[in-house]
Amino acid sequence: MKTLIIISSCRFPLSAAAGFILTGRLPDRYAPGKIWEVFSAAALKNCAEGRIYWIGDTAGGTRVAAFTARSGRGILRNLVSSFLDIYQIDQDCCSIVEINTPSSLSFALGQAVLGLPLVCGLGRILVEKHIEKIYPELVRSVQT
Amino acid sequence: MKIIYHCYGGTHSSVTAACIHLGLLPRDRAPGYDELLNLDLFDRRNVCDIGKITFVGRDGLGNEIYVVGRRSRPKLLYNVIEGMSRLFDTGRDSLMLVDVSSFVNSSMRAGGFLSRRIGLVGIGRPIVAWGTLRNYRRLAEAVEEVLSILRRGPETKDKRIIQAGRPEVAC
Repeated sequence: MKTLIIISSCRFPLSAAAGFILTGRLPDRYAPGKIWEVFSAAALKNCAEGRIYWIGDTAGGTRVAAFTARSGRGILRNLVSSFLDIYQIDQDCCSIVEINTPSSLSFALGQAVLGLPLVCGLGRILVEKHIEKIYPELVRSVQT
Repeated sequence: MKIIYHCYGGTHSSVTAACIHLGLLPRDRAPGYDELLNLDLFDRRNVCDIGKITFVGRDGLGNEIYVVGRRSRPKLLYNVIEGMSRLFDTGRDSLMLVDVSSFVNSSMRAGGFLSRRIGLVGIGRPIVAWGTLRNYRRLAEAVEEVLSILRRGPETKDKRIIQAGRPEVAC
C-alpha cells in the first residue's frame, strides 16, 4: 500500500488539514467553520508536537498520515526521511509532502492563544482567517 | 535492534557515547584529545543535520548504532519515532532511544556553540573536547548500562532510556 506523509512546521496541524482535504473530509473549496468539525479544541490543546495524525485512506487507496511541529529548520523532515532510510522503506511506496505556506503574525498569535481558555475564541478566528487565505495553496500542495 | 543515541546537536555527547558503545573509544579510561577529535562525526555535523538519524556502526551483538540531534525537543523525536513505528509496523522492540543530553556540561555547550553555531572551530573544538573528556567517565558508565540492558534484554525502567512503544495517538 502506498503511504503519503504530510508534514508542516507550525503548531496548528496544517499538514493534517491538507490530509483531510485529500481524503475528502474537508472540501476542495474553503467552507467557513468546517475546519473545526475535524479538529476539536481539546484535540488541538492536547496534541504534542510530532505526534502522528491518522488521516485515513484516499479514494485511490493511499494511506495518509500527518505530522506537525513548530518551526525547527527541517528537523521534522529530516526525522521522517531518515527513519525511512534506516528501515530501508522503499521511497517509491512512500512519499513526503511538506506544507510550505507562508505564515503570518496573526496566525502565530492565533496558534498561541488557541489553547488558552478565555481567548480561544479569538485564536479560532485568527487561525481560520489564515487558513481561509492559504486554503487554495493547501489544496494544491496535496493534489500535485 | 537499532540503538539511537540522541542529544542537543547530535555531534558531541551522542557521537562520543555511540563510539564508546562500538569500542571505537575506550570504556575503561578517558581517551586522548586526538582520539576524540579524529572521530568522523565528533564536532562535524551542522545545523542542517539536526534530525538526521545517522548510522555510526554495528556493535558486537549485531545492533545498529545511530546518532541524532533533536535540539531541546526530545518529545518531538519520541513522538515522530513512535508514529513512524506504528505507521510502518516496524516492531515494538526494534528500536531503543538513549538520551545522553544530561551528560552535556557548560564547557560542551560553550564550545559547541562557538564551533557549530558561530563557526569558530579553532576555539570551540578544543573547549568542547575538554568538556567531553571531563564527563567521559559518566558517559562510559551510561553506555555500559545500555550494553548490560542489551545483554539482559530490552526491558528497563531507566529514565534516560526510552523505547519506541505504542502510545496513544491523537486524532
